[in-house]
Amino acid sequence: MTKPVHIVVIARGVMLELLRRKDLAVLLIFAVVYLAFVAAARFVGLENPATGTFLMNLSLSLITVLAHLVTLTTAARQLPDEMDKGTIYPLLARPVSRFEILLGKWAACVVAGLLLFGVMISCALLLVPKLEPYEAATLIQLLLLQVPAIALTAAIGIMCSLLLPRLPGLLAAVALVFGSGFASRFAGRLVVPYLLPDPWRLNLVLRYTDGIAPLSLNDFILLFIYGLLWLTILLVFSGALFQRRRL
Amino acid sequence: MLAVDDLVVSYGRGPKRVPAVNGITFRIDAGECVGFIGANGAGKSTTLKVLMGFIYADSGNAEVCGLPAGAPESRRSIGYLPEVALYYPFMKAGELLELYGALGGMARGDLRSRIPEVLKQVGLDGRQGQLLKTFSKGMQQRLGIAQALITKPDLLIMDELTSGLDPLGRYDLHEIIRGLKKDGRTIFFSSHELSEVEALCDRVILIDRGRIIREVTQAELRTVGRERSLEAFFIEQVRSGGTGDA
Repeated sequence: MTKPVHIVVIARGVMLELLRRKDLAVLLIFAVVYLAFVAAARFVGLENPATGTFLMNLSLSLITVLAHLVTLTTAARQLPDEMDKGTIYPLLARPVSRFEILLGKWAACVVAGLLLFGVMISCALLLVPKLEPYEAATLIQLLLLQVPAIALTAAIGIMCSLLLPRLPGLLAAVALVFGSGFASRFAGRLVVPYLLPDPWRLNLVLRYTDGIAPLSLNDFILLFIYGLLWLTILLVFSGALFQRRRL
Repeated sequence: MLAVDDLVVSYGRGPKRVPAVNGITFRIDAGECVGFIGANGAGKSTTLKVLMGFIYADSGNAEVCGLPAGAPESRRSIGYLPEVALYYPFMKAGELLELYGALGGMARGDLRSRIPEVLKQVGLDGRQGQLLKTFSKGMQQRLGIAQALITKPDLLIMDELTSGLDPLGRYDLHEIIRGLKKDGRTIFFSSHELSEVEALCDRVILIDRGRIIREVTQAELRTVGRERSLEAFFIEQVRSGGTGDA
């Protein structure tokens, strides 16, 4: 029986680590510098709508990539760090299941990724000049679909860290998160790329910045279910891998 | 309290499979303090890891408090000290104990009073707000003992009890163990220190190459200690496969 309180306690520990690690602060500084550059463009006076759209697209895409990258790298190091440093032993010496530890780690990475995404996208939407009309409903869909997308990215990071050694695991996770969509686009008749989990399928940045109407409710729900289905598969598979692991 | 029956654990696969623990059987009753000694690679840590559910046995049974070893509920009454653990450097001592206490089922209010108490018990009083990256190896080991004691467990399992501790640290820890024995706690620990085992344990289990070669009571150990060194006795037992005189 999985106890939510255990998951919350584990997740709190990870969040504390993320807050006290300096690499997150460095990332935020880079993001602030970029957004300051965008804000400067606004004040200088941007008149060409195409340039405005380009800036909007670039900003939202960068933010999405950054949020996924941070989520992925954070998730991919959680369990290997615990195992390498031996801190997994006192954790598992409590009445806690391995699956609860895995879920706690995963949940913290998702929350961190969503917070980073939320803060940066709010800044971008406030600062980047909007010279063309954008669909508010598409934006809401974009934001909502990033929840399963980031959750899926975190699950991929954790699964790859359990399947492979540290560096190959991270590279495989990066390839899956950023490459499976690319692979399916060029797959032709090959079926395998379509069977890979693809968080990028849930990314509506281009749809929003191109001013395209929102997805139909059916398509939106299907995409959401696609994300949740893969998420369940990956978490259950990772749980089974972790359960079998000799520590 | 703790029962191991015909336990077999191997590492590796196929022809490279190496047995680390080879059919060991022993029992530890409530209130006993038992030492587990053996050379490096004898199978001590592997046995303790099976009891904690960190690794799985190929065959045989291990039970803790009447439950199969490894079941989360079986760990409710265990305090465990790992052989090596580098506790989270970004955490403060108080935060670490809060994490482990909360996972052990303690309420926040109870933890508030328990954390300073257990830190004082291991000689780390006043260090609650100190970041662990500033802790020395000995302090980390003391903190390891504190985390094992935080939930006031009935059974303590410790892998290499005093590893990394200076003589003062060892003395303090021995006093803690004696206090816990007086309280009726069950203690099972592995060690290389024969004098430590003699000073603290009611019984000692000797393991070599995955097999239990001898069980010796404290009285027998004391008799041995009067006649010859404990080291000589230990080496004799290992060489004779446990058939040497006590």
